[in-house]
Amino acid sequence: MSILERIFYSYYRAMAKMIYVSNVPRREFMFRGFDGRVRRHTSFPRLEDLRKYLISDPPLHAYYSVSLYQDPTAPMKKKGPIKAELFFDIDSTDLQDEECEKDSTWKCKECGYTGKGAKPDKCPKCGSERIEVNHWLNEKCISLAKSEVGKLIGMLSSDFGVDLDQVSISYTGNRGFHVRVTGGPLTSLGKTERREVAFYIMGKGFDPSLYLAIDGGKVTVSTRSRIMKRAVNFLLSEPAIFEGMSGKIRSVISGKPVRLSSKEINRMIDMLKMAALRSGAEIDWMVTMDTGRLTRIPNSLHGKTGFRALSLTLDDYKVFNPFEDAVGLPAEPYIHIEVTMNVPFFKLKGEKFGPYSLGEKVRLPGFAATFLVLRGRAKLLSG
Amino acid sequence: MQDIILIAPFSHEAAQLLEDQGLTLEDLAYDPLLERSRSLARERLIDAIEGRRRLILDRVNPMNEVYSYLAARLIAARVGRSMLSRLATYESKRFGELSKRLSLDQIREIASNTFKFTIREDNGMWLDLISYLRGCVNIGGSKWRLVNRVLINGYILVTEHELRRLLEDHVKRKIIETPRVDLPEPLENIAKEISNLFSKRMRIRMKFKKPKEGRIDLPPCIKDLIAKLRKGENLTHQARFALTSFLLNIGWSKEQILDLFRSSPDFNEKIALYQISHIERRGYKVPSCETMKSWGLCPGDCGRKYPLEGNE
Repeated sequence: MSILERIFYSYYRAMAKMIYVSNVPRREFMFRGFDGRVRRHTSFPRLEDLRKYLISDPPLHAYYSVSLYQDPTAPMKKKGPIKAELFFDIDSTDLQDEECEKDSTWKCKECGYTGKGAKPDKCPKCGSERIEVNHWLNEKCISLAKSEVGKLIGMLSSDFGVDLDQVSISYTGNRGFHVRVTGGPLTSLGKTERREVAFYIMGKGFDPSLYLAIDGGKVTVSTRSRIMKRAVNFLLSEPAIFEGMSGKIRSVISGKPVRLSSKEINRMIDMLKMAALRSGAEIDWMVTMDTGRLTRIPNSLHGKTGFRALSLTLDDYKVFNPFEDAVGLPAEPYIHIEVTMNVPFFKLKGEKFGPYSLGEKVRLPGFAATFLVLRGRAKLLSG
Repeated sequence: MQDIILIAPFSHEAAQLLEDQGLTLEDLAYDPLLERSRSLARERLIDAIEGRRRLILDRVNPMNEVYSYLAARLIAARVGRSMLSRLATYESKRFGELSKRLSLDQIREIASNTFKFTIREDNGMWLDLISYLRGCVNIGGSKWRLVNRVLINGYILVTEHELRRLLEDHVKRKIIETPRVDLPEPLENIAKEISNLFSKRMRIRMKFKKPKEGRIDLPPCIKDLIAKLRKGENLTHQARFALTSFLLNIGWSKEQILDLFRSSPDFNEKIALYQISHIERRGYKVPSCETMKSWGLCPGDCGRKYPLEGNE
């Protein structure tokens, strides 16, 4: 057993009572071990059995299904779904923000060319699209993801009429959040219906021309659609974009009907489409439409950070700071590591670390050393 | 009430009458008084296969509409999924046509009693989200996409015309869900006759040869559409366009594409050939993956940016 496995084991032994999943016998569980082995289609008759399993075979990653099944251990097509929570995945990786990605590094798999910051679409040296990334996570990544969570919750409540008591938010333990609608009629929806919901949340496929009216030659925008209203508000609140539009388009957006040429109408439609996307929430629509998805077990450890996956309340998530609140591992034992990729300055549990350069050998508190090793930026020197 | 039973034999009201009368499968098959219902069921099925639409109603004995509808469903389910899908399309479109004779109040009655729609009035007509979603996913066109709707507090603003269209789709779903059961001899005999007629109608489709599919790497969206067609499912206008433009681009002939569409439940050779020729003449491009996604035709990310990628 490596020192990391021993640390995970100690964590689960001490924290087993904190592990809670509802409807355990009807869920599918999945675990990824330290040896890379994946155990799928697993089920437990009782919560206590799940807790015992986590202690006896501490996993690197631990998940459970958002669906309830007649037979959770059967192959996917034979599980017999009872209901599926409506699941949204928000990952700051999808937001491609410069500040969030400033300490991420990438490497072209074809020619080995490396760079820092947001991953380019193509390798600047050889043009290959096969690029691997080592993401870093910082406060900006978390605040961006939180803002998307806020947009999503707002829409679920005011547009979809979802009772917020049936909305669950959890921190994944890495760069994002999972939001789930756990009850109510939305949990009975099929795959294609869920895709409609996901596209609405994202503002994807919005056709502004359906809300334009021409009266006496003058164009007006109807804001009866919430998406149109949000798109218009977005344009009005972004001076850099708003000022860049022609005076006539600005008038129509501000609610003053004027005559527009067909070219101007098309330009305005493009702006509104972009604004609908920007004011929508950035979720992974393929996750939402897939009822077979898995989410992390609350209070289990994330194998890429050593942070805890946490259930959060509607108020908690706004003030939640993973670098304080999700650090679940203790400082003891201190661990010797060697840095294998440059590490920027970071803070965990109020303690400051780094920056560290390639090849540097340091002795760090257990939680910090584990974090760097699991992120692939350092290797263990002892244990 | 009589109008509802005649025009909507699938309605809650009709089901209630059936229950009150205690009709059994044996009655439906053997009762000499129901001979007319059985022959009407046969007509319904033949019309569905031939693409005809019978709009005359049996006003003398409205229950004949209900019995024949029920028998036709059971027989179609016995024949197979494709036949059931064909009957479902026929009945839903027929209802769409006939229901023009019903008032908005009657339509709302069917919607709430039979399909559990919740409708509210507040400066327009508002339909509950779930009923809307269940219907809209099978209807093509950007105005039907949820993202383009007025959605407030779980309710969607709909027009009367849209409500009627959504009902049609719910009718179709209801029929498609008919379970397959063993039938008494007289109904089984009709099922055999219908099965033969249906196979005959599909004969040309059976002759259809798959052109060089082995060497062609079809993207999952196109495979999905072909599979749906082969199962006799109805495709939206956009889905037909995407499939046709794709197949033309990879070298299928108009006739081969026409043959593929023969299993479509509302197949009309003249219209289909006109549409295919029109797409060919205009040289329309295959919709991009982005467009396919917005039309709801992308079953998942396959890594392509353009459906033709790898086949150009």
